[in-house]
Amino acid sequence: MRKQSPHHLVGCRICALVQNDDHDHCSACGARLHPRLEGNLQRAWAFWCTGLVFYIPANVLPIMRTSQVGGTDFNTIAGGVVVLWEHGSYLIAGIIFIASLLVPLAKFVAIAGLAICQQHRGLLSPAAATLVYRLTEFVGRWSMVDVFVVGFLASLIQMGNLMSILPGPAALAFGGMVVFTMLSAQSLDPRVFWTSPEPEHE
Amino acid sequence: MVSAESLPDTSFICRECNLLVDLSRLVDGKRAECPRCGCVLSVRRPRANQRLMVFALSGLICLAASTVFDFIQLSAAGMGRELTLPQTISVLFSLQEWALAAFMGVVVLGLPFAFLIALGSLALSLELGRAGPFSFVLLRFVTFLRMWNMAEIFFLGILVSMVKIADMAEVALGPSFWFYAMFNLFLILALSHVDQYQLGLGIRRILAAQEREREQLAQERTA
Repeated sequence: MRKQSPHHLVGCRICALVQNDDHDHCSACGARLHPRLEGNLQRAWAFWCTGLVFYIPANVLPIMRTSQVGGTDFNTIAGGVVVLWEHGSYLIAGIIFIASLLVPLAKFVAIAGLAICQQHRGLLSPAAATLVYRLTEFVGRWSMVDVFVVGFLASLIQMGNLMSILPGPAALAFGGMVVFTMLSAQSLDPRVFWTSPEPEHE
Repeated sequence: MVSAESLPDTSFICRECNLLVDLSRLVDGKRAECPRCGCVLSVRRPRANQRLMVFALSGLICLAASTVFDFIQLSAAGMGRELTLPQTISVLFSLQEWALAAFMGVVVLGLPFAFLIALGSLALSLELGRAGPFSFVLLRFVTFLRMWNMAEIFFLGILVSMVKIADMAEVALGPSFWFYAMFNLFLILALSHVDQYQLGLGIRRILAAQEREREQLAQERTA
């Protein structure tokens, strides 16, 4: 563990108190202090890999089963986007395409890139790395929208033989993928990108 | 080497780049950005605690109301179906989709309720000038719940679902839908007013004042 902050100071993540980093817990609120932790990188990669494991069934297995008089349809995420597009719902197809396909993929790439940058400084400027980190943090939760759509439709469309919708196994896998990539992103620490901090007073 | 004891209580360390800054000149209605990485350090809103109380209470009322009435009505081929918000979750339970049902229940109702109650009571205690160790527990709780809040994403999910089924069934929105929409509005307002630095500083200042009072009392007694 390497501790490095301006003049051996650390800011509490909960109550924002600035204190000497010679203890593990905040002297005001008792929360765990986070001086720069290189060990977080391991956590980030572990969650990243777990997320990737969930990513495969999330895209291969059906996320929704639609039973109608004619028979049962199985829809994967990508299949759902294609159906929406063919129906002419371009806006919704776009939202689902971005939230469910583009964003998760971009997130895997971004987190891996940031983790590599933490080990090899200088690949990205600190400002650029921080920007990527902020985007990754912000965008993470929004991928969950497809899981909610499936859950809501399943509870709404239960009209016996006429039409019923059931969630497929991919719904849970997808939710797990989102949660684990969120945990992975939270394990990254943007402070690592900024070396040799200087005190500054406005 | 600077020791933490010699710093003013308005000191803050940027959580993204670890820069030490002094926010003593941050006045009402202004926001402070990190001079190095540009992230927002703190926004000082006038009467922030009162606003937090209003948003939290209004949000709670709307959320409670949204569980009572019809959320959505569906009719297709002569068949009708009405659902309340808790029913959208209980139907999933009856379909034996335990994990999905539990997840939705927690995210749609559980987390927002807990978040708004914790935030509202924290703001109330700060407004009354009464803080204690429990205030830090509330602040930790608020910080954690804020990270995992997904109510507005669920709301987007509802809107997407309705567009998806628009051409196969007739959809009518019940009063609960509008209450849930209003709850989302208040939740977003409340979230935008949560400021780690201001809340933490508020608690610490009240505790410091209590400490000074105690010392003064002890001195008077010995004198």
